[in-house]
Amino acid sequence: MRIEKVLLGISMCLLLFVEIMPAHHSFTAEYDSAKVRQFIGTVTKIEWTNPHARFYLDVKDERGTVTNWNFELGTPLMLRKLGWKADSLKVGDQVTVEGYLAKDGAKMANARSVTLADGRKVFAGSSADTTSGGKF
Amino acid sequence: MRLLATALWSVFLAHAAFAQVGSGTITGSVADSNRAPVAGASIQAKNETGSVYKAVTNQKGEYTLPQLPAGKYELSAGSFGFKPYARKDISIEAGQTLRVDVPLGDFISLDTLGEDRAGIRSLISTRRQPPSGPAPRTGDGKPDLSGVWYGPVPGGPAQEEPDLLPWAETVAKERFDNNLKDAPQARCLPFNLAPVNTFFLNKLVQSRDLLVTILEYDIPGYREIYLDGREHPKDLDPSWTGHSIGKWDGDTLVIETVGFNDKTWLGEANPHTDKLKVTTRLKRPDLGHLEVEITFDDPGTLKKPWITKGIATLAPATEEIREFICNENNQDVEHLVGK
Repeated sequence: MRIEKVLLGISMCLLLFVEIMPAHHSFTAEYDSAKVRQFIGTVTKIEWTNPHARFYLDVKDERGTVTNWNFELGTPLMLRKLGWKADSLKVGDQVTVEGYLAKDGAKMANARSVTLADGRKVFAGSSADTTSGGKF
Repeated sequence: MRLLATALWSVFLAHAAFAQVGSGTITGSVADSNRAPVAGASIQAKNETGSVYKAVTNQKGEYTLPQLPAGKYELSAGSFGFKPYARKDISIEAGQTLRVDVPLGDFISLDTLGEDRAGIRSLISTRRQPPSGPAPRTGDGKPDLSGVWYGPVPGGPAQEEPDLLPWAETVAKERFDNNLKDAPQARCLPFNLAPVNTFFLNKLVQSRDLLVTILEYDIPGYREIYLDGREHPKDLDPSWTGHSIGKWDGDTLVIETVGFNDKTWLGEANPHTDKLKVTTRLKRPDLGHLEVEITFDDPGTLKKPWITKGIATLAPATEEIREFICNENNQDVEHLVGK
């Protein structure tokens, strides 16, 4: 009961809050929410920068051709608040990434989940609780 | 006493009969664009008499609005990071259970890791409770607003949307139709019209003659508000952040900001002119809270002033504002294609 009340409180606040919450850019202006793709590859670079942190992944297709993909994360301001740091993901890490593809066909995607080879999820909701996978 | 009990029982029976015979139910589920359930979404049904009934979705995204008096309703739903949903002219008859499933469209980038809905929710819900006690005062007896504040999360009753002139409505619609691809902040330009930002940290540093607000999430990340009695210069060049002066009205600091250019967006997508005046009222009723009321007045765009209200809470002094150098690696601009 108490949890429901808290949820309702948060929910009502957020309903109002969304009207004035600034985002760096509109998701739907750049990415296609209907085009989700899974990538498996090796991290080649991490940019702990604003307005978005980014990481790059070498992904090999079935013919053996390697393509470097660019993945967008949130701002480091938020990632730090959630407990993540610049070295939470490292060059050479083998990861599985789910991402929304860029609308303009660039080799870019908006990362919605990043899973390390041992199953740990990086950059999810909070570093203390990675079970949500960034979704609710 | 017996008479009273009989009367009360009659009232109860009448009420129960009305609830059974004269009312209906709206039920359904709320899902996102991936058809995943949205938990914690707010649902509201408003009838022609103005009565409002509210519910929140459970973990399966389901909601029920029981015992709605028969009549016509407007159903609205919302959750953080989604486009608001509204559907008018829903008729409920006595004894009817109507199913209305609500699709919520994605809006801003809140599935992005680090800015995802779960993360933001957890950050808000795990914020340290603000301390209690009286509001501090400065040496000259004024309330001292200094401190590190979690950006306001609006409280109180639902706030109205800005009432736009027709030309402004047209512009706002075009911007939404283009998925806000031309928003100034996507180009790392300033986006806060008021001297405090929402959700992120604000550090207020107050002296007798000057209040400085340091905004964690804006470019530039500061505003200066003159408290020394000066007026606005008469020959202001229009600017992104305007010119701010503050005067005390009792224990409320009233900040007036004018001199804006017309390049920022008001709210999510609304235009404004260089006639815009922003009045920010700050009141610290106690140690841990800062009431923020912002009035946007622009006769060139708005039919009437638009007022938003929120409450900031005091963060631990250990919270530090970090830099936000937006242009460091802004790769998005060339990929913002809109539709």
